[in-house]
Amino acid sequence: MVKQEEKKQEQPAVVIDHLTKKFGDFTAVDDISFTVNKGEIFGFLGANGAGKSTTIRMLCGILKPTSGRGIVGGVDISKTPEKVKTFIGYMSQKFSLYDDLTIQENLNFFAGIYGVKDRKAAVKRAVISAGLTGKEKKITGSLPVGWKQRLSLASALMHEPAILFLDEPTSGVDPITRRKFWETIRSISQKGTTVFVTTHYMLEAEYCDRLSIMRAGKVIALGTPGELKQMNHKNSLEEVFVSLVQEEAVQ
Amino acid sequence: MNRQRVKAIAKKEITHVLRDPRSLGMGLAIPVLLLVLFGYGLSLNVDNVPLAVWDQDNTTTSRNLIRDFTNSEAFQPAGVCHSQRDTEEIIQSGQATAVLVIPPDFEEKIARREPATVQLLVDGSDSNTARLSIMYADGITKNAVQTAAMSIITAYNPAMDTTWSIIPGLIAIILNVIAAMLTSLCVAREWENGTMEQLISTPMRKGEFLAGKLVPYYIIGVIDLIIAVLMALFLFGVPLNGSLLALAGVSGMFIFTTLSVGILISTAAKSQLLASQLALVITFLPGFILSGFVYDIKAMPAIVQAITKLIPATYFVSLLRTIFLKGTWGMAPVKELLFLTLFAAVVLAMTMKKLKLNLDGR
Repeated sequence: MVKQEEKKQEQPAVVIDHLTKKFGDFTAVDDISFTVNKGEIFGFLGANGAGKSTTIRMLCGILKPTSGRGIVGGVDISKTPEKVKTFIGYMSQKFSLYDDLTIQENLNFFAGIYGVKDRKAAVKRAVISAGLTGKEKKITGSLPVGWKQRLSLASALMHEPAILFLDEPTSGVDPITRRKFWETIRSISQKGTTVFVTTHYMLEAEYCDRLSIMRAGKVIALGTPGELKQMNHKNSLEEVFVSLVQEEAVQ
Repeated sequence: MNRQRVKAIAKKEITHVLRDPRSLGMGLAIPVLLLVLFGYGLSLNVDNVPLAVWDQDNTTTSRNLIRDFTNSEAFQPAGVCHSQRDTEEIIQSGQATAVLVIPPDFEEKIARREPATVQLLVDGSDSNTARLSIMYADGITKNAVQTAAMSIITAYNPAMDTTWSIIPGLIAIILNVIAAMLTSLCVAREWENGTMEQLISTPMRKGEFLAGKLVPYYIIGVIDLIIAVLMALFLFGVPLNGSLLALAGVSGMFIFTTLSVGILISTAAKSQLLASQLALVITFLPGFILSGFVYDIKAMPAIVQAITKLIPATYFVSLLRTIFLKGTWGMAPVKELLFLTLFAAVVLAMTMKKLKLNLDGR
């Protein structure tokens, strides 16, 4: 009995098993396999076009895998993507909320779409957590990039998802905003939410519990930031990243 | 189907429309503009045709007849002729498009109750105006002569006739185009702005998405219908001889059918521009040419007649004319309503098939 409960708790948030995505002749994600544990912040590193976004999109159920399996929260992403969508939050790389709606209208909309019970309270909470109090009536299109990103995150968190997927959430914002953003991610993670995040910034990668580095559709390294540095005999993740990616390029 | 979700989408869609003056203009102002423009412009009435007169009789009766002509809305005085040569010259110069020639024995013949004739020379280069001028002249002359000979005065005003027959069909054609245009943008816009990516990561289902999109535009379509009907009744003075309920029922179904066509186009097209242009061509051309609005379907070749039966606007044009003008409403138009319902069902089924809530195929 006890053993079963333990086993249930240990069930990983994400299991990726020989996952592959092809667009015509181009293989964007090439036979990758790894797991993400519950409650951890999992960083997904790689150069542009390495296949990070494609992987995230497959895990969110908005892109169909060509082959292989992906299990998110115990649900198969190929078989029942609509089920996956009920307990994940997704923030895409490109800002994709409604520019012509106000902050409040955007949040209200997503609260409605996610079927949140007490919408008024949920929207109020979201406004506070995003630090947008007093700005609810502002039109979203006119907001600075940093605010937009906080709003996106708040929308994705509206239904308190178990797993949060963030695709380059901090691109284009200043370092202070970025640091604040990561403080938020940390606090979300501490509440038990699994965070799966792609990034370009090596400083951010240090905040992650574990990392994977992707290149040309393949995962070429996986481990904690410490492990990766140790394995590659480097002092910083930036050096690890550059050496790994260059190594591949020479091959 | 989750009602909260449908409501959220509908509410968002209404906000889009209210906040964008262009889409609000397209939804409400364009139908009014089209109705006014076509209602007056397409009317087959002629007004103020310049009329010259060659009065060889020069009696009270002949002068009365001339006065009847120039007092009518159809004609206005444009000169006096004194010879055959004059009449030809005045038409050739364009000063007049018609010349009324009254023979010397006009009053005498009427007094003796013999058939009296007058002659109308018409510039035939604009055959439509020529034909209508003859029609009006015929009416005025008969009326005048009857008045003189038998003292029967009747109000005789042919001027409104063509407007009456055009307006109901025009309402059908305008609703046809506007309804499809309204929804033609709403799905393509989500893809074009990138907002679709966020939407499809939520548990929203296809049916909820489409229902939420259709509801607000259905409301706008009904508002358009109400405005158009009020304009028909009070601005153009078209009588509503049939029942209001029949009008509401038939129009309600037609608007839904056409909104569905628009949403299918929006789902299939990759951009808003392409979608709106497709919607315009697909609804306007068949609606205008093949629905029986302009050209008589009975006069078309058999194969074209068969095609007209597949166009929703054909049924709507004929139903609106019937309801407004004939008012013959003994039996409900079951066949037509059935066709519209079936048409909408097929179109929505195609939309469901075409709509993908993922990024594959985009």
